Amino acid sequence: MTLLETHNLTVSIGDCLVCRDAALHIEAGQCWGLLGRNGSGKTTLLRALAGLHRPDGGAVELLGQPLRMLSRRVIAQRLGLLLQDEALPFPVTVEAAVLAGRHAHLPPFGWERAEDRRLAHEALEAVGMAPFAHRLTSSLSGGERRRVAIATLLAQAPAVMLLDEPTNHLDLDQQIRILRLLHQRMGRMRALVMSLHDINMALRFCDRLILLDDEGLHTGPAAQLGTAERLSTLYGHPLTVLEGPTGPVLIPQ
Amino acid sequence: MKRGVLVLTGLLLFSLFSLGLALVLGSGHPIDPALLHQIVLDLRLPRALSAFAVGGLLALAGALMQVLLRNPLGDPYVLGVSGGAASAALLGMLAGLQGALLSLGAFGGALLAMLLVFVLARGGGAWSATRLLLTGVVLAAGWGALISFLLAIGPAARLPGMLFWLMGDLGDADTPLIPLLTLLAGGTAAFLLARPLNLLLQGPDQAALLGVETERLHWTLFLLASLLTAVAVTTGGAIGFIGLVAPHLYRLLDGSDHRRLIPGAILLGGGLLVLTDTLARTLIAPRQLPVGVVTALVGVPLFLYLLRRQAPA
Repeated sequence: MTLLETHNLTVSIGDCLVCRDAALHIEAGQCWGLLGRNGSGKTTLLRALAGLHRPDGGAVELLGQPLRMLSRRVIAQRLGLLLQDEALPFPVTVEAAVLAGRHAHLPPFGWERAEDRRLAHEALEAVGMAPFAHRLTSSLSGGERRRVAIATLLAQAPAVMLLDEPTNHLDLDQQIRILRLLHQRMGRMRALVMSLHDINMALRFCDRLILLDDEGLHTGPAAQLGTAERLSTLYGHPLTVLEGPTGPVLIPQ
Repeated sequence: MKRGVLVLTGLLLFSLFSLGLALVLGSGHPIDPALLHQIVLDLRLPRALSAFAVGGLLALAGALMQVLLRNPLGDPYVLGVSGGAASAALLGMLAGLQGALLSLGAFGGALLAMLLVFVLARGGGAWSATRLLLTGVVLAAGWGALISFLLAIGPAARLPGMLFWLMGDLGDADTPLIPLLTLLAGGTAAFLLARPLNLLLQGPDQAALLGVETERLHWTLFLLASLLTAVAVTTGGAIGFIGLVAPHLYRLLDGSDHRRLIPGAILLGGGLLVLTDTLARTLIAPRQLPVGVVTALVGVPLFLYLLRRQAPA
């Protein structure tokens, strides 16, 4: 089933063109890795897919309907985006931050139901942050805050999960845990699109890649685009392939 | 949740206590019990109720502006909204306007002032704390200058009445009905928006991603806060710091869930202004101080304290 599609999508930010006439076709059960250098427009592309950044041309379709025509509420029921870390000016408890993920599933003026609290708690359990439920997010470390934000996305439970550098601030063990968790939640009904800086994590967890360079956007199976040669050109730095226990590993020379 | 109920009950008692105190305190030796009865019912009660309504309106407007601007220092007085309303009201007075027309003028002034802060302080789609505060402070100074100018060219006979707009004074606030009704309507509207308001605390992007029509909410908050400020200013003049301090104190007591913060800040702001107004009229009795003098005397040190507490941005 096609979850997210773009038709002739042209996106730019300021004077920089991110992509021109791009066609993306994201199906349920697919995990996409979004790779590109700093400033190549990964965040802007994700924001455009979530309807936060207005494209210069073309359209994004979410479950067969144009994103432009949908209310934020309906979009939030179907699509979520994990933003990069941002400091909050007001104190919020961990529990309240995660419960916020349920907003689009609640009636407009209702309060959270027992079911929503259960889902929020379960999401916190999944990322290992349940003991922190009553702490303020401002008192957490960067990695802990990141896990709370991921729990919010899990509580929101959209079919399309876009993630802007989900492993940011996470230690090695947590990176693997979180990516496994996301993969498991994706199952066959959902899709993941995540920007990553660790190409080996991307090759390990993503079956498809989106490469962003000066010429725009290239999509394809990870086996095809994730070669040392291709990624060396993308990052402008030579890479060597080594055979590792979980498959081929790319290391910078 | 339990803590919230406790805090809200406490604040309700605090408001009732402040109202009771306002009725009891005052010039002391009544010769005639009937006269005392009349003083309490006809003079002190309407004034105390007006004070409560104005305090509640300012606290609510402050709470909404703080979410709207994502800045704990949002307040109708600090951002010059009160000044804009007061300037417009003064211009209206000079032009001979009265009653509802004057209030309408003040409303227009509040709207204009807020629009100015909004447009001038907005850069790259967000309001930065520094730019916002600087814009607000500079505009407030500008309104202050305009008010002084109007006072200088205004007829001397009207001067005492005009001074009211400068400092805030509840001496003539004897019709609490309109501010009370506005407070009720505005409070209900804000309470119904509590969940989207909570989400907006996490930033406009995150709120939109979680299902809030942020643009529409921004405009709703902008109009609501301006309306509340305009009604407060036309009733009691430009009273400072209640809008800043009341929501802040509530956050210190019970966090920032708006389902409790909205009623809590209203009770706190209302009770505080009733208390300060009682102080203002009894401190140097039989003369009265403008209540704005007292709220500023209390508010300035509190404001400085809160500024210092803020993490450097």
